[in-house]
Amino acid sequence: MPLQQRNRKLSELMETTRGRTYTVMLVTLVTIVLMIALAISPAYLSITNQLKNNEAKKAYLNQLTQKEDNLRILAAQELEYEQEINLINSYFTDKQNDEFILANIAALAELYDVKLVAVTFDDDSLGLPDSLLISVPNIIRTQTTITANGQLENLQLFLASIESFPATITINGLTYGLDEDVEDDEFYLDYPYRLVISAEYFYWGFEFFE
Amino acid sequence: MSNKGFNLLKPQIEPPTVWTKIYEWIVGTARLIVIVVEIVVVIAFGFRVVLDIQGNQLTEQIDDKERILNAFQEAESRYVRVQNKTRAFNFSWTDATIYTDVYVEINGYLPQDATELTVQVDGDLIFITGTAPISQVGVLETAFKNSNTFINTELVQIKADGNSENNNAEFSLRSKIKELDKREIVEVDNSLDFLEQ
Repeated sequence: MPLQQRNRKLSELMETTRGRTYTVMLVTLVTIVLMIALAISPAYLSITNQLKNNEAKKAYLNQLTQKEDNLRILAAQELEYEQEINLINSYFTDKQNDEFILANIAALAELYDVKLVAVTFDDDSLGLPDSLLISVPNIIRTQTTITANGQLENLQLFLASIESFPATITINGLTYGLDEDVEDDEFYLDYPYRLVISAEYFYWGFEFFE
Repeated sequence: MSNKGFNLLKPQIEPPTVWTKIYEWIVGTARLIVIVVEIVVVIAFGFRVVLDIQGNQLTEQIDDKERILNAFQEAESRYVRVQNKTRAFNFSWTDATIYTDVYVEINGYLPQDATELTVQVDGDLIFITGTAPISQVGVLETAFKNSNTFINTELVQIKADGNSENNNAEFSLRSKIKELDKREIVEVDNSLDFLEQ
């Protein structure tokens, strides 16, 4: 019987010194592998997981600390530039404020001896100009047409004052020339040229976090 | 008298059984293995305790920070709003075109004796129509063509009553502004004084 023969031969081999040595080594190796798998490996995994968690917490804590520092800096800056911020809020209104624009244009016209004929506002708000659309998506513009009469030099000063006025007004084009109705109206004799300015002004549409 | 001698024969001991071998292995090699593994596990336990303490401290610090940041929440939205507004104001300012210089230059070229004169500036395009002596219309056209401010100047139409240079002619001139000027941000010492001027 071959199986019995093999078993006998195996037993005889294991009875030798070499056989016994191999047997002990094999059993020891199996025990070590079991210990690593059942005891050391879970301990190692547990430590590495906790290390990862701690690293993630540290990174998050750093971000929170950075955010806190930035907010404190912003708070200090808000105090430092409080008046400038108030000015921007007054010039860049939170809603459509045609009266504000009209009052200031009228004041500029009076300053430069220009007769303000008409200021019209288009209630249908336009879309945003392409250059601003990507950067700030929540401002709205209103088309404005300003008509004024005066001398060419005064109209120049009037035009320059609107361009440098610290409000969100931009000029898209203008038309000017001799006013054909001047001869019929004595009031306009000293104001022979008519300037029509096509402009638009912006206001803040809605809160960013709404 | 007893004779003392040396027994040189090998002691006859019982051959070890399987259980004897197992027992010897357990109290020898296996014991060492278990002791080493236990030491490793104890050290790992110590590490784990330290890491857990650190983790708990970090969690507490995170909670404190989050409480502080919650208190800043309203202020944060205000800061973002101011930042967005300022950026929008800056863009609307620097993106705007100024026409004063173009206005002044055009006025310098306009015919003195022109009537029914209209100057239209639409974006970077210029249209001038009116009635003026032919010679002055020629001067106007030349001035525009020689100017560094304007390009593509073209006398689109000129309709004169006669051939004399003093005769009036209805004309239309078209040109284009080479490069539109934009508003600039000016550095000032005191922004409030500047804005209040």
